[in-house]
Amino acid sequence: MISPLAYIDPGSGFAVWQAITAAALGSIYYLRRWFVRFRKKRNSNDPNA
Amino acid sequence: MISTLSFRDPDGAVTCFGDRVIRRVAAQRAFDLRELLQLRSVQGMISARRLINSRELALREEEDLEPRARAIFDSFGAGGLLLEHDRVWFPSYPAEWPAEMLYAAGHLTIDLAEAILEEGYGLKDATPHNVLFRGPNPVFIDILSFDRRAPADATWLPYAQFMRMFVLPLLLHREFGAKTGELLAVRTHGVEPEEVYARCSRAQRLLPRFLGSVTIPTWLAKHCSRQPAKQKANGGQVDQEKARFILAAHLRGLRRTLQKVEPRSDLGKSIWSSYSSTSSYSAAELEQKLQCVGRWLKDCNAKTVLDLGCNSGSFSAIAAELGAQVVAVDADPVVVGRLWRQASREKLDILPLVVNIASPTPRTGWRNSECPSFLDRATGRFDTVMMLALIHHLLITERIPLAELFDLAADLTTENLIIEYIDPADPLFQALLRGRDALHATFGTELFETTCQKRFTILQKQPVKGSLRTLYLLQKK
Repeated sequence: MISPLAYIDPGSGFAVWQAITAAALGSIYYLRRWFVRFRKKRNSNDPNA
Repeated sequence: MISTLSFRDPDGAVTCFGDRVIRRVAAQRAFDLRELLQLRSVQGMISARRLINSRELALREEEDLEPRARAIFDSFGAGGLLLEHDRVWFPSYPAEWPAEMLYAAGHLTIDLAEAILEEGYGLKDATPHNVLFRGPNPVFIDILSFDRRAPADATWLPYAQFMRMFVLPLLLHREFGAKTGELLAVRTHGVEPEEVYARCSRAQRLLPRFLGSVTIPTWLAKHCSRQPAKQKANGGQVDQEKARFILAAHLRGLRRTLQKVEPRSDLGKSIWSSYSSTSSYSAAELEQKLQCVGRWLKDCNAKTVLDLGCNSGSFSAIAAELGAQVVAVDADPVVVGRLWRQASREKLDILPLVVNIASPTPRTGWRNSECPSFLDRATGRFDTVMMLALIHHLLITERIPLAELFDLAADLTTENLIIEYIDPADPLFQALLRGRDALHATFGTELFETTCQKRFTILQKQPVKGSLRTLYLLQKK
């Protein structure tokens, strides 16, 4: 397993930037998941589907 | 001969025994590595020759290794495994690559990271030193860079290293004409975003290609603690599916970032990039030369060729088309980059490198012994060496004595030397002299032939009609 402890270089802006973009991508992930579930639910409720 | 090729990773070391490359893997990594090598994606990369082939040595093969080898491996303790890798015929290092080859190595790294992501593995580092080239094709060699990743970890650990060692040098090349080889020769950890930030104008810092790679990381770094921060690499614990989603998106984003700094084929004119159109040869003279060299390469059955001062690589291409493995070197990264593009496109077995033969790549690394010098690697590796339209530059500009040139050639070749004599009356010779005629007053055919015959036998000579140049085919004594 890749070591869970890693020294981040002092002042490593890349590490912080990656964390910020990861948070943004995480939001996109949840949004996409919610949208897929919403569409499934709508299709199952639609008698004409 | 035994040489240790890598030793920094506590999980293993690579040692070269003659022509064999053997990696000792410590016990704690053996199981995962065995599993990794069975993965379909990894097998696919090996079949495509993008990942180095690895064969586990059986116990009886281990016992057959000579005692010195076993002593090195036993220092890693009991257990573990021994892997034998295919030998890459001519290793080269990022300091010798043109920007195009660094770009290709970067893409290979991303390809591998994406291929193993779904299998639960990741790369723990992303340095160009993980890549060698077979001809023009990159191959990833450091299988210990692969490791199981924590399923819930959304962080790509080597992100900063990838940016420093691939993206930022390529960005400097594309925007400021920097030579990536020179950058990586002295900056073993790559280029920091702060360095690029300092070179940019205020307007440039806000451009998209600088914003995410340079400006924002630099701004953020100023706000990070000055104390060394010990932080969990899996600080971003999320569910597994989300982690995969984020990592995959990061890798796609990195690929797009890398594509934005692709070296442009139209970029860069250099002193030598238009040599083929500005040299003193006419088309007919060049054709004569091509025919003669081609005939000699065929007659000598050249299998391993070193082309010194290759420029456009026309003669390297002839050698490759005749089935030789070719290493082509030139001091000009623009022409070497172009030759790499041609070799890739036409699938020629040419490894083009940026090397100034008057001051070739030295030994570098820990105790000056991690990366052997160009001459260490090249000596005695080639059955044929070509020095075409080169010696007058070494004689006049670099002021290397003629005897030294032949000594070098004799060290590099095991059999043949194809060399071009340029008469002092040649216009380019005169242009280089620039008033230093007295230094080369004695240079002429007689001195050339007398000097070469101390190390070589003249097999054939062919004047290039209409010019003041003569081609020589020499055999090492």
